[in-house]
Amino acid sequence: MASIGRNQEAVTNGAAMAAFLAAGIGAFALGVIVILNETGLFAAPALYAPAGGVTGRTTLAAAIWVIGWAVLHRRWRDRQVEARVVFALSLLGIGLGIVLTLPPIWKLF
Amino acid sequence: MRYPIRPRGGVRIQGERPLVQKRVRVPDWGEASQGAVDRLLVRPRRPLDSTRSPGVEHTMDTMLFTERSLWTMLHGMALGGGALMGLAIALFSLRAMRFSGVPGATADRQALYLTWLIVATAALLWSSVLAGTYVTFPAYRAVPPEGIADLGPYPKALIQSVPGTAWLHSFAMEAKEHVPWIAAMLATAVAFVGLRYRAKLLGDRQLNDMATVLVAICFGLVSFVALLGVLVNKVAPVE
Repeated sequence: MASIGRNQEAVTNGAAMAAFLAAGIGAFALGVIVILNETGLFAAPALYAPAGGVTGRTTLAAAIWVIGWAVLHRRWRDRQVEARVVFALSLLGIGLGIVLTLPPIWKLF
Repeated sequence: MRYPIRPRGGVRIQGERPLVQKRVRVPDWGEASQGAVDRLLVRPRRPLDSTRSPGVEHTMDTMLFTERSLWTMLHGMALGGGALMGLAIALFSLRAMRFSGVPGATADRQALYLTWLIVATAALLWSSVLAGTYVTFPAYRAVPPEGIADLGPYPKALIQSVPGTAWLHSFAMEAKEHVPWIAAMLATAVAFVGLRYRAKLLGDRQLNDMATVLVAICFGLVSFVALLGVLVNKVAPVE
């Protein structure tokens, strides 16, 4: 692959796709955790009592995001992956995550 | 619709009992500067007299801020506002500075500036999210003691005490608890891609499009929660 900058090596798209998909996974995880909390199926413990359960929910989602990112990055960093599919999955995760964290939606459950 | 009466510091009706029992005298600038911060962090409170006659003169006390209100301003205006501006600039730059073909020195420099802008934006966003979750939110959700008449220092209870403003908690604050974390994740992903791919962020059409979409989503989310924050703070400021 040709160089793309004067001081820059060309890279595959795997690392970028890993970052994008991990963001989708993190967003979706947060949405699912919120739904589980609101339905009473799972309540993440509060890490900081004055702030309440939101600290546990968001920290858990952030941990899933970071771990997912690390795993994906390790697997894809030197690979060229199908960008359209991965990005579509990322947007799906982000969209679901946003929707699931909105009260009018989780009040339906 | 009648809202619960809440105290408003800083406004005093002439002829009534002073808001502060002991007035602070400032004999010289040296002493004034020494105690300036302390006085800024003390805000006198008194019940709002809604029965006062029209035309009664008012005087303003010293402009005072509590520590909680300073944190709220830092969270919303400095960090959140800075992130919002950074996202707007990044969104514009991703489209305006993209190029096709082989990049030159100018493109490399532009990509470098844009990357550090997005990195700074992500840092501001995370700072705002963490300050909001761990500093401002506990002050907002503080539970008032039983039987207290003044709900001013308890924004959540104040909002929920009136049916017309209850949605500011049940929708606005509930959304604000979680949505900003998603925005911070998106900004971090784009910042990482900028650091790793540098000029390719502007030169690779597909990567540029993806980054633009994510920054646009991030901008929309931050704008949304910022608007909700303004509405909540308008009705029940954390003071």
